[in-house]
Amino acid sequence: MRLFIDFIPVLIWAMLAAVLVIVMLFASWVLRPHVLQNSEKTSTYECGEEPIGPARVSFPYNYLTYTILFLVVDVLGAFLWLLSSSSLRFTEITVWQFILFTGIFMVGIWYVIKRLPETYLSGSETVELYQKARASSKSSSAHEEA
Amino acid sequence: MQGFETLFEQVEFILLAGLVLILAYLALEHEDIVYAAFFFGMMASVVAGFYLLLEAPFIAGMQIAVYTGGISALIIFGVLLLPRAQDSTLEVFPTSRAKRIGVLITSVVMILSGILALLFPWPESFVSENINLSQNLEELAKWLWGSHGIYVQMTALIILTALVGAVVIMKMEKAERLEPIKGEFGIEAETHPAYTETQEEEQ
Repeated sequence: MRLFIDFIPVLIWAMLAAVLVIVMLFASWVLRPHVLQNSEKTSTYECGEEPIGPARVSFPYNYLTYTILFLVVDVLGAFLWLLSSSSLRFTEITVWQFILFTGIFMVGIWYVIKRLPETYLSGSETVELYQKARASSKSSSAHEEA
Repeated sequence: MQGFETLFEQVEFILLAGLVLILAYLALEHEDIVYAAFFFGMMASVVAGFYLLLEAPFIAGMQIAVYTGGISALIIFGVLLLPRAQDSTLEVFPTSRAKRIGVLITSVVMILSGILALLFPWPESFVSENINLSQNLEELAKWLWGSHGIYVQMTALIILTALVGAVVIMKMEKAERLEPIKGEFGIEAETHPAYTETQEEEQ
């Protein structure tokens, strides 16, 4: 109960943030020219070019790893926030624990950053595969003819 | 003053519960999956209000940092990276019969858990020392980092395992994609003139 009252400034701040968004959207609605929609306006914007294909192309989903890294740093931050809010952080044993804890996280992040390029399918590998498949299909067709 | 605080607490709880129910319903039922993901994030941040009512500041902070910040970002990123997921709408019940069975099962589970929550001996089930622990960040930090440091290191090791596992899964997936495609969609189906011409020349 007391804690909720302590957090009322945060609540007011959150409401102000929501109001700010609404005011900005309304202001841009007031300021912008109200023209009808046409194909020029609704088409995908590509600088000085005719747009080719849909804008929603498929990205390599390996990029999701960066979000996982963000989540990991998030958890690290939450635990360190707990430590920082106490007077315990000045004792020697806690400093060693902190070093071990952060070290394990850093090893994990370093491993992901180091190995991530290997998980992408590079162009040279695709070309190699293509050439190999072509050579094998050629040799098999030559075999059939013989 | 005490009576006012109790009343205020109840009003706050009902407001938060209503907000959570509305946002959870929108997260489930909104047609656009991106909006559904955003409603999930909002719901997760309102759930943090429950933890503040229960005077558990660490769990409230953890909820906002990990669920509102992390899990929502993960879902939104997943939706954005998969173009098919962006355009998909959420699944609709094929028949009204399936919907009725779903409503029935949900209401039975809700009634049973409600009865359990009413009958459970809550006051006796709490250890009195732990109440102080959960309400005070200083005490909790002493408990977690001071006397139970092994838990913190175990969390770090679990996350290290998860990171290594994510990279290994992606490398396995890449190895699967490196298999040359044969048959209908493979090299035999190549109809590009440059390729067929070279074949004819060789023959």
